[in-house]
Amino acid sequence: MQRRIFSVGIIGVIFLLSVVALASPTSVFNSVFKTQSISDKILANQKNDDKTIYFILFHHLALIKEKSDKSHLTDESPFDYLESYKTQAKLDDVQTQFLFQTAEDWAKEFKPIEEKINAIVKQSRNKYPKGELESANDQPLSNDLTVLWEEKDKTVLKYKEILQNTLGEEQFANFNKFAVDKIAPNVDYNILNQNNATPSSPPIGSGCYGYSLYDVDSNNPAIIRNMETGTVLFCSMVDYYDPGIQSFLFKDDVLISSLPRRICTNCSYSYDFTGQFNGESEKTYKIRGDHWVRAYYYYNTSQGPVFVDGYGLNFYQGNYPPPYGFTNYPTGYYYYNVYKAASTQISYRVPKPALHLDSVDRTGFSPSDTYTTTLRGTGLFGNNQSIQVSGSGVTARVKPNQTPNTTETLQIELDITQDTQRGERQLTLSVNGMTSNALTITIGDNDPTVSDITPPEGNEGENVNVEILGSNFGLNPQIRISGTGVQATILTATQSRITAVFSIANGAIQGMRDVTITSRGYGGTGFITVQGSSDTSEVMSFEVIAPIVAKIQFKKNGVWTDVSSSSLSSICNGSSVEFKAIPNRGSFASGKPVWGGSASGTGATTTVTFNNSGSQIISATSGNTISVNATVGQSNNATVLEWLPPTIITVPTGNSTTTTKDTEMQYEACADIQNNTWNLRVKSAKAGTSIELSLENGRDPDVNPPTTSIQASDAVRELNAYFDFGTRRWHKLSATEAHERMHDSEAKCTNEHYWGQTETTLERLTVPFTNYSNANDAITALKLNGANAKITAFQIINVDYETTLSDEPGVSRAYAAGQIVLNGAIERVRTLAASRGWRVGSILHPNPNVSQPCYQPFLPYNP
Amino acid sequence: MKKIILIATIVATLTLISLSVLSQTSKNEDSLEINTESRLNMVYSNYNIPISIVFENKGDEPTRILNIFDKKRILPIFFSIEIINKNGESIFSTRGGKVEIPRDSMLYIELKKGETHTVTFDLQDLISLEDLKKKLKDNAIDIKNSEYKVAVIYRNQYGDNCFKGKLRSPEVWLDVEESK
Repeated sequence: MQRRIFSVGIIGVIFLLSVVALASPTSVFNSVFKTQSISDKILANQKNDDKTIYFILFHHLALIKEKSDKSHLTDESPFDYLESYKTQAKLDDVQTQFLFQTAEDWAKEFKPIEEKINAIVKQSRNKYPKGELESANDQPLSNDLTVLWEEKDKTVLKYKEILQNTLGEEQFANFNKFAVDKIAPNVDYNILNQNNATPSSPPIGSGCYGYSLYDVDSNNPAIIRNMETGTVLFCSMVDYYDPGIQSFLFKDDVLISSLPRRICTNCSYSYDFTGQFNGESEKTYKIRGDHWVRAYYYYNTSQGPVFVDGYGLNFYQGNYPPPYGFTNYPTGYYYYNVYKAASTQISYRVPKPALHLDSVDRTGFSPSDTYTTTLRGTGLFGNNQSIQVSGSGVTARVKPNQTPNTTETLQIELDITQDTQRGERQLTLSVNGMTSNALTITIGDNDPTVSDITPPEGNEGENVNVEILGSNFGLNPQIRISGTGVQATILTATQSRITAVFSIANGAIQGMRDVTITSRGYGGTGFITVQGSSDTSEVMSFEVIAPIVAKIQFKKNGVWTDVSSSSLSSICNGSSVEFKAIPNRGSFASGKPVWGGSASGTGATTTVTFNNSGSQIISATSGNTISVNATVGQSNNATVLEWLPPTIITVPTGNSTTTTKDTEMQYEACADIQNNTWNLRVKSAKAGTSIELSLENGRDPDVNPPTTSIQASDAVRELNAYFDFGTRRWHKLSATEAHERMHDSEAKCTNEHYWGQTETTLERLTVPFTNYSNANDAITALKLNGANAKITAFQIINVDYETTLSDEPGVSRAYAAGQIVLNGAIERVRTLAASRGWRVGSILHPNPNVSQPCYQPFLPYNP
Repeated sequence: MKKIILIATIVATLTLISLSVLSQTSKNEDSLEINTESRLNMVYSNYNIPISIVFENKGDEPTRILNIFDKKRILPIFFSIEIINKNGESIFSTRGGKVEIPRDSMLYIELKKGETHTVTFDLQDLISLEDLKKKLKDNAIDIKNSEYKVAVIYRNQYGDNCFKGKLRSPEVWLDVEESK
């Protein structure tokens, strides 16, 4: 906003003297010359004011008369004054004498009136000893002053009439012309002295007979600082009618400030409202200086005298003409003087400045955003405000609900579309049908932003496909990665998504990399920067990693499972297990981990076939080494049935027996994890017989040999009959043992025959690996799911087959075996008999068949 | 050869279960018919679990069976018991064996048509209860909490003019009660 400055000074004397514009020297001189021509009008007006002219005349003449009468007491000669009037008024001696006598008479009559006036003024001054009224509404003087003033006027006119009657019409007319021409302010006379710029000397004596003054600024003669003219004929009069001066400031006729009334007893004027202040555009400021005695003339350079005041006592009652409006000038400096006993005012209307945009606070804008910024300039407010922005994609408007302000600012709002053309635009403001000058604004590119990088990490030595999400990437963006060892190659790019390959070199330093996207602008032709914008996104992180091995898992029925201390404790020899190394983060680098121990190869998974029994180690190395243990069983060779020696006990009575003991089985279970089975393995198998021997009532010929020939013959016959009839009256326990041991042999060959098929069948049994956590549980399940049945079937087939082996005397291998033992006893009886001369029989079955205990064809068996 | 029909009946002597009528019949490969009681109840901790085997001649001709039934020490040679699971598999069996019997000491029981001979013995004559428990435990067989059947097998290879061979009773449900 342009600042309008005006300065006002109020000088209180009697008359307003000058209003000077500073637009040009020519105007100043025009004003001066106008003042000269206007003086005639003022004079003409004064000439019609007889009470004023003759008041001053009579007052002056009375003073001269008084001085003349007292001339004998001083060195001064009043004669000069008398002669001066006589000469200039063209009076004879009698007329002159009568003139002075009339003035003296008037003075005598006026004196009591004057004393009353002085009393009123004195009273007012006593009331306001500091010369300042308490408020603008105070009335320092009573209305009696007006009455007294009118009485004074009456006395003046009365004695003027007396003078007129005495001098006669013709002579009075001549005298009156002298009074009007010489006593009233003689403008022409004083203007003649303007170039002296000093008060002219009083033509008579040293009193205030009347004078004019132009005070020209010494530095700039075009400025008339002060110009005085008037009718102050006697200084004592001024003091006499001076109750005070007050100044008021209005804005659009509203009083906004006033200064205290001051009584300036010894000065001719005072200054108020000096200085400067900022005025609002199109507001009218008015300053009125108000006197309290009398203003004779009030005029201005163009209209002449417009107001003659009486006493100015009713300032607030509005009995003043409308404030005078000064001409608006682009710049102005107004000098304002108010003299005592006058009421003057000045008005200045701050002109409305022309529409002009000086600046806009923000000149750079980014698409897809809304801004509020401020226009600065002049003439921004008015009707039909609108904002225009060249090109497309920018919608601008005046922010609603703004009121004209003294700082000349206007807030505007701009909406920028995303796809608007980037570059410079022209912004203008239209007000009241006028369009301002254009300001240049720039639509820049949006800052690229990155919201996500997936994956946020990659292994050294790998090419990682990366997706970068964000916004405002522009056409042909660039990816920048800090540090070394990682290179980006963009595959595809849109405004919001980039796919790229991050090539991480082998041996690239592990750690974080700063990733930024640099935009080449929306169209890819260059990033247009506006205030605060950047072609580079904020930093996102990408980490180069080399994962270590956190743990090793194995595949259990298709599910990767952590390896526990027992999970690999019973691995089937020859079976395979699939292992997987789990990284502590991300995924392993290429070629990692490296498998060791019983495993080999590289990569996250490996399959190990366990062909060696015993404890095995499987390790994976990738920066660290993690190992797990596995226990592998023996290779699955056929387990031989162990035939235990028979347990033999002797019982006193009863039949001798051989019974087959239950097969003692010991199982193992091994895990075929890849096939998800627990496989049954026969750890050992033992079998045998229990033999109970009884001699019953038989007589052992070796223990209790025959003592007679008959006994010996009977013994040999009975011992020979064992094979055929099983007789045991003469018998030996050892023969029975041989008999039963043959049964043991039969059981042995039977069991051994059927064992191989049984063992094979047993080791085909499986249960699901995932159903049992350990081998013992698996063995239990395997027993119930087949092993018990297989062994029972094995035992039953053995008994069934053994039943086919004859145990009949005369046939049985068992009896044959027993007979062989008894044949020895027979031989010893025969020897005994021979020694005694007894006749006994010979051995009947010298070689019974004890071959092939399992001589019968084996029964079919399908366990 | 004469057709010999024997019927073996397993009669469980139980605390709460009375004898019931013959209810099941099966034929072996020699066309021998064997009937048995429907269920065998074991009081698991009892020392005495009597089993009665009934030989019945259902043939037209007389037949003999070796009479060794009073010699309890050799009963396991002739009789064995099998435990059968739900799949019909024998998962446990007592064992047979051999016995030395002089020919002149062999005695027989003759059964005419329709005649029966009942042999009663105790389960513990075949296997001690402790052995049974141990063997079942070793083989993880819990007869108390699962459904099993039992069968009694009679085998004989001894004697003259008597039945020789193997008879298998029908399978009967095995009820096991805890000892009171």
